[in-house]
This record gives sequence, structure tokens and C-alpha cells, in this order.
Amino acid sequence: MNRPVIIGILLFLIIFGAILYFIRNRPQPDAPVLGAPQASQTNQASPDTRRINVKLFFGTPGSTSLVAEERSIPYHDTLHAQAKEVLDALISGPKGKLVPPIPQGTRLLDVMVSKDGIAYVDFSGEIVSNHQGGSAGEMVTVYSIVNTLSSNLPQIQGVQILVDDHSVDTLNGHLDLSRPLKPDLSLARQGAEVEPENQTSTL
Amino acid sequence: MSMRKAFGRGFDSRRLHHIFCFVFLILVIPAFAQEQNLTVFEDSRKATIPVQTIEGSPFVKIADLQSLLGFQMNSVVGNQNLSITAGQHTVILSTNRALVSVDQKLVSLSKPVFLVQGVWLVPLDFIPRVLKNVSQKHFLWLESSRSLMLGEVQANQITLKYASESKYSRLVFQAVNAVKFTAQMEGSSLILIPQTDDFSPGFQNAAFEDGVVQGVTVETRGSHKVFRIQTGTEYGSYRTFELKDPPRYIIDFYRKGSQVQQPEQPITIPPPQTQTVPPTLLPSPMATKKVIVIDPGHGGTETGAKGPGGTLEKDVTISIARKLKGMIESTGTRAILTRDGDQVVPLDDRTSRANNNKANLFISIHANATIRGKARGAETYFLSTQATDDESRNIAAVENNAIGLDQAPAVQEDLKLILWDMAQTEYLTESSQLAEMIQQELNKELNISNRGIKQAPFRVLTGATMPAVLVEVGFINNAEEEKLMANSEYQAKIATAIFRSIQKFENRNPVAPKPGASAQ
Repeated sequence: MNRPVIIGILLFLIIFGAILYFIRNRPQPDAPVLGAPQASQTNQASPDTRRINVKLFFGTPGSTSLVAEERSIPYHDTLHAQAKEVLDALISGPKGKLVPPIPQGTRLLDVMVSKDGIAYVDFSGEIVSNHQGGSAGEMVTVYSIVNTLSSNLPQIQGVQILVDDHSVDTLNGHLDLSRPLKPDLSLARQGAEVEPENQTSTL
Repeated sequence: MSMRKAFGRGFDSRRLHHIFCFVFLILVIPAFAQEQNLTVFEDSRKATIPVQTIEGSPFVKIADLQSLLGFQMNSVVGNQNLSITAGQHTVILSTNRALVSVDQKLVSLSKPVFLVQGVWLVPLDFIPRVLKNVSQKHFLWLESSRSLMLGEVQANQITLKYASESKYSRLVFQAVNAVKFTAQMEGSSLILIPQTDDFSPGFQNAAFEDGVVQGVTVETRGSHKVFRIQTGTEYGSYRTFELKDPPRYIIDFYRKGSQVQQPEQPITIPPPQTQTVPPTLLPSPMATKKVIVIDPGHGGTETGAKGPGGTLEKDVTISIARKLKGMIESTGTRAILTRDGDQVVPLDDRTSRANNNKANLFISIHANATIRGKARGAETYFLSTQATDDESRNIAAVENNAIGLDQAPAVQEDLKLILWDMAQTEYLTESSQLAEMIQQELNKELNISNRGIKQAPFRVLTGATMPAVLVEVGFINNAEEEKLMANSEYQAKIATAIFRSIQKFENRNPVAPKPGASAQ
């Protein structure tokens, strides 16, 4: 081989390596950072400290009924951001004696609300693998999500639960999750813990 | 010779470039292959976008995404760069580079962007990393199933509802998050001014013909949006009030001569009716041999719920199912188990088994569990569907009555149900009755307090073309009941209770074997 070729190839490799090094060592402009433009527009324009009160539906020990616990959470301009906030609050669990309805370790991967008011909620696999099973337990988990979303965000007409980016038939062999579910308000416990206002909230 | 020449004195950067391009194409072209496509869902529409594999990684054509997401594409600087405009966002791509500029910030992609014969190809992570942040539509990107679900980015939407009563017409401005309004008359119009710009009107104009209110239009004043409500010739006076949950601003326009009333409770809501068991049964002629399908819940690796002492639901359910089968067969009726061993059986296969055998009854046996706490007793379920669920129908009725609209929004939804989903609805009356009987017999036989029958959208009941129920015989997460359920005598008691209720149901609803049901 003659020299110019070797020099050429070496030169190329050095330049290529330098470019690669440069790219790799840039301050990581990855997705989270770039997610910022959308969020920061609203956040920076008005340092948003607005909050709203929501009703989160949790389980009751040893029963299939759901009871609402009120919580103040940050306000968001967009429906999906607000839905995310509501679900994160639901996942974080009750402050009182109620039972956390979402299995431990479950993460909310994403939420999307379609134009026709169906919320698609994507959870990590723990919602299945850490679930203790049983129709009663499954109903509490599923309807805590469906009822919480649809009673706090009236634009949400139905909720479809997805697991690890996939639509699923059921969590553990009981409730049909292959299509959107409407809220089941019969699960709301009749009595003191549910505020009378709750009934109007279905309007 | 020519190789030698290429590497020889004639070496220059242009030639090197050509060689690399050639090598690149050699490597790339065979690597093009069809892959699992990308599916895009938007409302009820579904579109498929082909995915190509380049060097083992999935790529899509930007042009395919363009029409769905509605952005503009322009080639810039000698066609080696592409600029995408989506609303106020600008994205710039350069061929063979894994860096993309999004609103002048750099985003890295897993693979470089390619321009092949005038077609721009991007790696799949372009969708979540770049498009997600600039898209006018909100979307959900499901990586592993390669699905993209498109929705609207909604601001606080204000929707309008209208109802006409004899004395007044009511307009309801409903928002997701509370909006303060001020109302002022301007001539014959009432101007409704939201005290925020942070909303989007869910309508542009609405017209009414009741003589009191003519219509509502959205107007822009300066940079603000207001609602103009044009009153009609019969308009007399108005009053406003607010409601919470969801936030609503209500204006009642009174007809001339009608008094403005100030009731304490502006809207009364009738309480949802409690569920009642439908009173009548379909009459079925002749009593002869029947087929009953028993479905032992779970199986194989799908163990179901687990008791604190280690008892598995799948073992309890198969034991009870086998006992019940024996009892049923002793009367000459055919009984079929959806699984006879310890194996995984998909839910739809269980239902299909019953349908294919023209079964007269389908009984799914399960053991229950709560998340925490000790529940005890049996629960019997039958199917609730969106089409038939009394509760939601009542709620829909209340909702529509309250606003004076008689066209339920749920109606369209109902029509979407496919045949499989409708299968069980025909049998709900009988299913509820069977559930009631099983529940009663279990309570009596096991001496437990009544938890009642319940409705839920169970997958295994959905497609059944016969009366179908799911029995949760006890709570396996309750140590006491777990112990009982593992006991063969107690299992026999459960089977007996279910067997008796089947006989009771038979007597009340004499059923002929279905045409095509094979007698054994």
C-alpha cells in the first residue's frame, strides 16, 4: 500500500473519531430535556402554583368498595398532563386508612386522551405481576383508575388500561380490559365517607 | 487495475467519498427488509405505516408520519438537510447524522437519519424523542407494540349545553377546570366574558329556536375570547349561578312574564335507581338432557390468587369443578370441564368451549382475594356490559334529563359493540337469576353472610351464548377461608350448593338441549 492511502484512511478515522467524541460528550440533550420546551412554555410563562382538588378512589380493607379521598394536586393546562398528575397521585396511595389499589412498584408509563374522550393509560408490568388476584381485588384496582379519572376529568368518557405498551385482555383473568371501561359508580361505598356531592359529580 | 488506480495516485477526497458511499450502499441495501409495521390509531381510524430495517434497526419514512401529524417539510441547503415545521416548532435534520435540532436544541437519536433516493428515513425513536415534543396532537407511543395513538392536546375546554323549559331556556357552560365569568347585557345580547384566556371553546356557534335565546357565538375581542348570547323576542330576564364538580356556569333566560325564581337548589338530581333483578324469564319449552360447562378458574402458570398458607386458587377451583362435574353427571346431564388438568387455557377458549358444545349453562369457578384486609364469604357475578349496565344507563338518563337532552351520547358507543360483545347480553336476565340462586345456596350451605350478586365486565363471560356466571367461592387471602377451601369436605359443600342451584334453576327454567348439542 502506498502512503497517501494510509494517511487518508488514518486521517479519516481521526476526524471520524473526533466527531464521535464530540457528539458523545455533548451535554446530553436527551428526551427529558427536550420534553422541556412544551412544559416550560406554560411553567415559565406564569410560575404555575395553581392547584386543584381531586377525589382519588382507594380501596377499603376487606371489601370491593371504593372510597374517595380528597387531595390537592398541581393544576395543568392540558388534559393529558392533568390526567398524569391525577394518576400519579392515585399511585402514590392514600394518606388515611384506605387501601392502595395499585400494586406496589407499578409505574405510570404514559397517558393519552383521544378526541372522543377515551383515556389510554399505560402502566408498567408490575400492575399484573404484583397483583394479588381475585375478582374483588381486580375490580378495586381497575375501577379505582377508571372512576378516579372519569370523575375528576369530565371529558374522559372511558378508560382503557394498557400494560407495558400493550393492550391486554385482563390483568389476571377477570375483568375485560381489551376495550375502554366506563366508570362503575356502584362500587362507591354508600355512606358517610362518600360526600353527597359525589353524586352530582357524575353530572 | 482500476482498484489500483483508485488507491493510487489518483487518490483525492472526492473519490474517497464515492468509495464510502458505494460501500455504504452495499451494506445498506440488502439490509432493507420489512418489519413489524407501525400502527397508528386516531379515534376510530387505524393506519399502518411500514417499518424498514436498516442495519438491524427499524426506520420509518418521515413522509408517512407527515400526513398523520400534520407538519410541513422543506428541503434546505442542497437537499442534505430537512426542515420540519409543526406549529411554532422547527426541527432540522441532516442526512447521515444522529443529531436533530429541535427548536435550536440538539436531540440525539439512536441511529442517524438517512436520505435514500429522495426519501427521508428516521429511526423509530425519532417519534418519542422529537415528534412527541413538537406534535400538535398529544400522542401515546407504545414502543414494544409499535403503536402510536393520537389524541388532542386540550386546553381547558368550555362546552355548551342547552335545555328549553316552558318558562326559561338554560345554557350551561361547562369547563374542565373552573373558569370565572362575568356577564353583561349589550343591547339584546348577553356578553359572557371568561376571566381567563386559558381555555378553548368546544363550539363555534350554536343556534336555538325557542324565541328566548337565538344562539351563542364565540367572538374575539382584542386577544380575548368572549361568548355572545343573542336573545330572542320573548326574552324577559336572566339569572346566573354556578355549580361545582364539574365546574359549570349556568344562565337561565326567562320568557317574558315568567318570574325569575331563586331556588336554593337549582337542579335536583334524582338518585340513581338501585339495581333490581329483572322480573321475567324467557320461557323455554321442554325439559330434557342438557350440557353444562364448568370452568375451573386459572391453571398452569396462571396460578390465580395465593393464600397466606400457600394454597393456590387454580388447585381449589379444579377440585370443586371435578366434584361438581360428578354430581351433575349423576343426573344424566353432560358436564364438560374447560380444563381437566393443570394447564393454561386462554379465557376466550374457555367460553368458546361452552359455545361449541352448545352448553345450556356456563359456570366459572374462582377463589377471591382482596388487596388488604380479611373479607369472607362467596360472591357470584354476572356480566355487566356498557350496553346493558343498569347503573350507567341510569346515570346517562339522569345526565340527559338534567340538561333536557334526550339523545344519550352512549348510544353511538353501544352500536360499536361487536357480535362477541353482544353474545351474553341476550342471556343477562337468566344469568342474573342463576347468580342469585347460586349465591343463596352458597350462603345457606356454607352458613356465610350474604355478599350479594354483582355485575362486572368479566372477559370469560362476555362471549358466552348461554346463561353464564362466575362464582368466587371464598376469599383465599383470608387464612381461615383458605384453610376451609383446601379441605375436600368443604369443597364438596360448595359443589353441592352450586349443584342444587343448577337444579333449582332447571326447575324454574326448563331448558331443552340446544340443537346440535351432542348427547353423550
